[in-house]
Amino acid sequence: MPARARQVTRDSILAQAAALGLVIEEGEMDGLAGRVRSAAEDVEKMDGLGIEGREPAVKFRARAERSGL
Amino acid sequence: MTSASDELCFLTVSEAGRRIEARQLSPVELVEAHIDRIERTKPALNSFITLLADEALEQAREAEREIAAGGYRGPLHGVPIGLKDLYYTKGILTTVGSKIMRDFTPGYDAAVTERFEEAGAALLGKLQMHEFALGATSVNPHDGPARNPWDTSRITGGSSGGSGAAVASGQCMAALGSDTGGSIRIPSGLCGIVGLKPTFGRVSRYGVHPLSWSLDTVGPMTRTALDSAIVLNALAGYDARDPSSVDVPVEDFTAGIEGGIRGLRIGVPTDFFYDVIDEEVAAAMCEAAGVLTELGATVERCSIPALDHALGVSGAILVTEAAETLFDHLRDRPEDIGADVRARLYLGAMTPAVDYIKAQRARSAYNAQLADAMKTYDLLIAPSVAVGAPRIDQELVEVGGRRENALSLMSRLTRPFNLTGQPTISMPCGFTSEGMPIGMQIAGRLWGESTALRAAHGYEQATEWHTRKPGGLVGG
Repeated sequence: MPARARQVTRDSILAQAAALGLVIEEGEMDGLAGRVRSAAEDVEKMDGLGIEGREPAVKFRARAERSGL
Repeated sequence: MTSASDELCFLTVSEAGRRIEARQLSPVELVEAHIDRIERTKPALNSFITLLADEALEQAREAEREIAAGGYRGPLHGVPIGLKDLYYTKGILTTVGSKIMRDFTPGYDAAVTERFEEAGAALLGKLQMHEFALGATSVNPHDGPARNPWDTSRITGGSSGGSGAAVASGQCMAALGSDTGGSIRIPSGLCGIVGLKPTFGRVSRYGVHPLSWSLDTVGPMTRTALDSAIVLNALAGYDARDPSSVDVPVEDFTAGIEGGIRGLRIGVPTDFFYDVIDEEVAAAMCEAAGVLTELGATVERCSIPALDHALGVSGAILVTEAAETLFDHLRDRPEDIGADVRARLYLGAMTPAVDYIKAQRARSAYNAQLADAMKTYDLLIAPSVAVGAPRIDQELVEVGGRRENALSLMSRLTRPFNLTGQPTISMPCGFTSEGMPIGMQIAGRLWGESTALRAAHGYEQATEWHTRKPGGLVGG
């Protein structure tokens, strides 16, 4: 398991939830922790796509053109 | 009502439009036939949230008066349609399939609602969906599950499940779905109809309750490719009220639809799409590729390695944007959100900004690989869903000797084409041995709906899958 995913714990999730003002039921914590770890693994794998030098896919070109700037 | 009125419910939009224009068919008779069919089949399918029978009949009478006075508007004039319950309809309940918005009545129409009104269509009602469109089963904890017309113990797929069930069962001639990770194509595939996710930016999202701002797409669900082209003609076009709307020329999508398949180059990506798939679905795809070859297309296998990252990239983007969109509900009323949707929203809320931005950068790299493939191929084909519709209570599905989570499997094969925004159709290409429909995706180049529709129409002319009707229902 990648380092980032290993650092995901119930406590880290609870801290993040508290910062957002979310109250997560105890019974939902285990499943959520697993999903957050799995998502963190997916994000690490994205390096395999060769993202160096890439801009985010979503641009605001159309809006900028319309603004007349 | 007679079987003759049920036959009216299974006319195509194009045929009904032709008869209405020729004054051989009364819009009032057509709408009455559909209302009767809805009343008889609604308990079995649970496909409508709000039925607008009186309003639709009044619209049909108005259409009849206009047509009699020489004011025929086009092929949707007097045709009964349905809207997924996330399209705003002025003065009409719009629940988004949720408990939280149970009493929400918009003060204005969505752009597509306006377009249907301008086309003279009769709105039969608002259709069942997965709560907040964030799920692919349409098993809704507040409204109950939408049920598949081919076997009512099975799911329709989602999130536009009511739309899939209603069109497949003859409750309406066309419906609108919305597609963020496959929500048009999954129920179209599982219910045996044609669903079109147009190019991102082609159809206005003004007045559509949002889920994911960089992925949400609006599109038609019909029983034929020609009908999808007719509906797209009514919907497509730039709308300054929607920041994602793109000002590109809009052609007549029906114009070249008879042009045939000969000469098209069609790629069959072998990465990813066939890693987890039912044998019968894979066999149906193989057969469909053969039909396309016989029709004169060059069909060849191709490799697009980026596809292996599709789920990770789209997952990070979709749930994070959804969590932002629905954050106030999640914080203030979590107990009023279904457990499955709440779990996805929590995951999105826990996604760090750095991961979201990285996913959007990864999406650029992913899109570049797909764009390269589309320089070689006019179209790509792939299965819509890896299995036939699971039972409503089924959590695990056996695929290739492995037990897979049914829910995760539903959107596995559709999400790759949401990231790119390219137009993609799902259409029937076979049935499982249990009698459930199998869908094939046809993905075109950006703004290339016409080519994808031409291929779908050509395939329909050579096969009979789209002509089958679900049995078992009253008058089915």
